[in-house]
Amino acid sequence: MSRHDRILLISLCFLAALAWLIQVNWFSTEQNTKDLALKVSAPAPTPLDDLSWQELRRAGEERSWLIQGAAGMLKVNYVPDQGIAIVESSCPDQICVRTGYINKAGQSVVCVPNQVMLGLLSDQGKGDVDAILR
Amino acid sequence: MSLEVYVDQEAAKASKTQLLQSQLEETALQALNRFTEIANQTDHYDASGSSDTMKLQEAAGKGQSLAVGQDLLFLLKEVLDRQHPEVDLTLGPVIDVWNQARDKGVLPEPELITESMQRTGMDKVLIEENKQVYLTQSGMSLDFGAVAKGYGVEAIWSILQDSGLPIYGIINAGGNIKTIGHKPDGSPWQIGLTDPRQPDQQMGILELQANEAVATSGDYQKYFDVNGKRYHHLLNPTTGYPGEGHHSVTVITENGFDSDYYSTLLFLLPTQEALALAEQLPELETIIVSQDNKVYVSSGLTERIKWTFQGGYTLVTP
Repeated sequence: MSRHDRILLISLCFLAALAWLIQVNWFSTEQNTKDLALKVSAPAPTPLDDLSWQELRRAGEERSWLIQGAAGMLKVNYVPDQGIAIVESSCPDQICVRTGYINKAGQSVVCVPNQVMLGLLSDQGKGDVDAILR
Repeated sequence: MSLEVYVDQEAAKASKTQLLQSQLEETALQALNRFTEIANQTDHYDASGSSDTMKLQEAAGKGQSLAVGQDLLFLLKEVLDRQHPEVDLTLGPVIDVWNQARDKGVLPEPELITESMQRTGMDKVLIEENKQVYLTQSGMSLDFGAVAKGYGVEAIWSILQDSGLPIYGIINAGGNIKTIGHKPDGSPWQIGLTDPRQPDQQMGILELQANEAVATSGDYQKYFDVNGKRYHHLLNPTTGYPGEGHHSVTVITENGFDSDYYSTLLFLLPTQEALALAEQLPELETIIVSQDNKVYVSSGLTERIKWTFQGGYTLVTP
């Protein structure tokens, strides 16, 4: 795959109990990297937007941030060896909080009411696999 | 749901196609819009009340059939024609009872299950010669959870395929995946299989070829626990209670709808019947994880899975 230029289209649609939400993000991937990228989608800029997953891992420190969602605030935690998670949310169903920590390529945590998504992506086939069947 | 589409630049050069990002974007958005349309039409909670599903439910038992769109017509007709009692699109009333129970964290009253089950049954869905649809009993509601995502994945795939663009990629709707073409190096797609007992872990890696679909029905996807017992969302249409016998059933076929349909069907069949059915259908392969932690694999798959589980399961190969 590395010989090829790539355009990666990621579209995220989430089936919640009540609604399917679609978000579309365009980005081009860097070539020849097996690194994971943390992708954040939210209705407004967040303090996580410029974070590098690699730097977070290298620093090896627990961190947390507050994000403004469409329906209120969310708290995001990074914990070394566990990953990143939405740990508090203003949403009624708390599905995003129950998702827990994500740390592998292809995983995402979504808060539909807040329109917030955190995802870990790799342009080199999700580490060992191309996709994970949930 | 994620859709990853890569442009195969070598194929693009070979075909002398000047691929514009806008072409790909337009096609992908068209595909996603189609997916959303299917989601909306099959939504029996749609607040606007404008979906075909909502309209059918509104008219149920009132003696009036309705014209519905191609999606509902296909799904209802296909499931009716196949005549497998395990796949039932009329379980809306009993699913509502279970959802309310789950919200309260208690088991539903048996009387509520019995009452709601009286408003279910594919025999109460009539498709008339003019293709109008009628639900014969008031209080019926449709739930397309067994097939809608697989059908939606197939619809996305068709649009991308029909575009003729030199692309490859993967459509991933969580429990439903379909590959788009080959990887440029010709190697198979590698799909991580979720360990149903530890859903944050993978139990193996499955190889998929170009344009193959795979779906999993699992007791870990939507459930609640009461007194240490798990109550999941895959209801047995005969009893109104969660199907027993399996932790998860994965089905590999060419068509996304079929993989979704059969993963539900095989989940609700006894293991040996499920395996026998899979062996009868040459285009279908399956991985069944039984409740007693045995992993059964159909004969066409043995060379296509690399198991990564550390223990706790017993592999049963044909």
